[in-house]
Amino acid sequence: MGGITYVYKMIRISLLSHLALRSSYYLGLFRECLFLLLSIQLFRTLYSGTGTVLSATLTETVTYIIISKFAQFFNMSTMGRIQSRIISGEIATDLLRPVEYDFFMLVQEFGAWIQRILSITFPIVLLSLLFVRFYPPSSISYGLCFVLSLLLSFLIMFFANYCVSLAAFWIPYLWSLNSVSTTLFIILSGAMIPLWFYPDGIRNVLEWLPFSFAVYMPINIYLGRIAMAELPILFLKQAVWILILWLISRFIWSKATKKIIVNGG
Amino acid sequence: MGTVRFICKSFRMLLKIQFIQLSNFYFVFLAVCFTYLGSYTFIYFLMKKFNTVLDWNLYHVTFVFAVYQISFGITNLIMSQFKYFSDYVHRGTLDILMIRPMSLFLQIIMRGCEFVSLGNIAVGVFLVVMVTKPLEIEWSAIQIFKFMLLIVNSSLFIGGIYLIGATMSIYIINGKEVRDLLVQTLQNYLIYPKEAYERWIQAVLVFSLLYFVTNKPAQWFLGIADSWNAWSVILGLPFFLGIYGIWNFCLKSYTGAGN
Repeated sequence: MGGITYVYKMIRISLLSHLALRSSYYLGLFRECLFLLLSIQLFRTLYSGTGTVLSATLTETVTYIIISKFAQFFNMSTMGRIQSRIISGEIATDLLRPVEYDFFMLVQEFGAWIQRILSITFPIVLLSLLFVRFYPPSSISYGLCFVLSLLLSFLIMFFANYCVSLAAFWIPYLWSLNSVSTTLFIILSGAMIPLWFYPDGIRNVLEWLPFSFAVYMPINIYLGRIAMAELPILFLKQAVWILILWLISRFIWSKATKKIIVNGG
Repeated sequence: MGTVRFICKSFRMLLKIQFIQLSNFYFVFLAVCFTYLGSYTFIYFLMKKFNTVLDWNLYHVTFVFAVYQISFGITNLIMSQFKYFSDYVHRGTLDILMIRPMSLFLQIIMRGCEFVSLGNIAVGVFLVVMVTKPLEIEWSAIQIFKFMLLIVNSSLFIGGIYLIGATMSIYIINGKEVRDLLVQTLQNYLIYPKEAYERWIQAVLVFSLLYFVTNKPAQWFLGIADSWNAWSVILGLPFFLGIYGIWNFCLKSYTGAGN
């Protein structure tokens, strides 16, 4: 119960602090809308000029681009937060907290993600409903499965991010690592363009990696491109990846806490 | 004479600071290369799948992207401190700089160089080399001159955009948001022919001069016929000077923010 209250408070704080900078918020929203509009128009032109048969229709691609806004996990601040807490010495206080450090970070990221959905994604989807033709979920059950898959994909991305972030215990300047990992996550997950536009060989490999389960698979569920009978296997694969990444993060954490040197404090 | 000495001394110092942590410089340089080649991956995959966007092929789009990378790298190398202009305002650093008997513009420039932007330039040059053969570019003296003109023009435009962000930071909001919006639009969407977008969007992009930053001048270089292309390559300088004038004018009404 305490955990839920904590999550609720984190979401509220995140939302309020985001909305406090109104001009910045409106500009951010405008930017997202503009990029969405330009992407959709670009795809319309690309589709209108191609003679080849593609594995997805224009409306499916447009739906993918809009719905992928729910899965924008790539600007997680875990790395920056861990690094600044190590440099300032606040990590020492964090280690004394009666909660696991990964849970503490997870809740903060979850709050930021929900805040982003409420303040950016929902307005964009509502605007898109007025001006753009895109598909609703194939059925109510597919819609519910999409939500479940999205929650699991958030956990995959969090633990992947967290594993990389723990490098802060060894490396003092993480800008390059952050930049490379974010780029990799975006390329491998299909966050920018759907994986069905990738060459078949690359796509077949990527479909086995955890990142495709973070964006590409949940949206394929939304679109009904995966048979209902295959969904339990898909959820199982997501759960297995969460477990693997969690175990890796625990291993790195155990090594990190033995090595920690607190500067400042 | 004093100005030249100031530039030389500052530049020597910046070089010294940058190369104290040489391994970090190499890591960040490689990260920059990787990040922007990553952005190019999407363009590559899309163009491989669709072959053309209107009558442009992969190589045309790659060339515009490469020109943008080189120009962005040069601007970022020289004018990187204007990215942090809002911090100068918020922290009061600008107040200190303004009372010094030296050009404010020069002082801000010489406070830091992002040498890692050489990564952008490297990516751009690499891509230009890759498309040289498919686009049948012959690097004669005239073509090299035209290419340099193209790069200088685009760098001045992007420098002007940095100054727009800095000017906005004086009055209203964090100008970083506006600058990022323009820069990201340029990188991801304005590398395609403008006809790829609806007419009203085309009008906005042309009248806001965004299409004149890299796209139109690159078309001029590649010999793609359009009545505006040849003019576009000389618009960078007046654009930059105009925005520089506005920035200077706005600074006169700056009342100070620091302590």
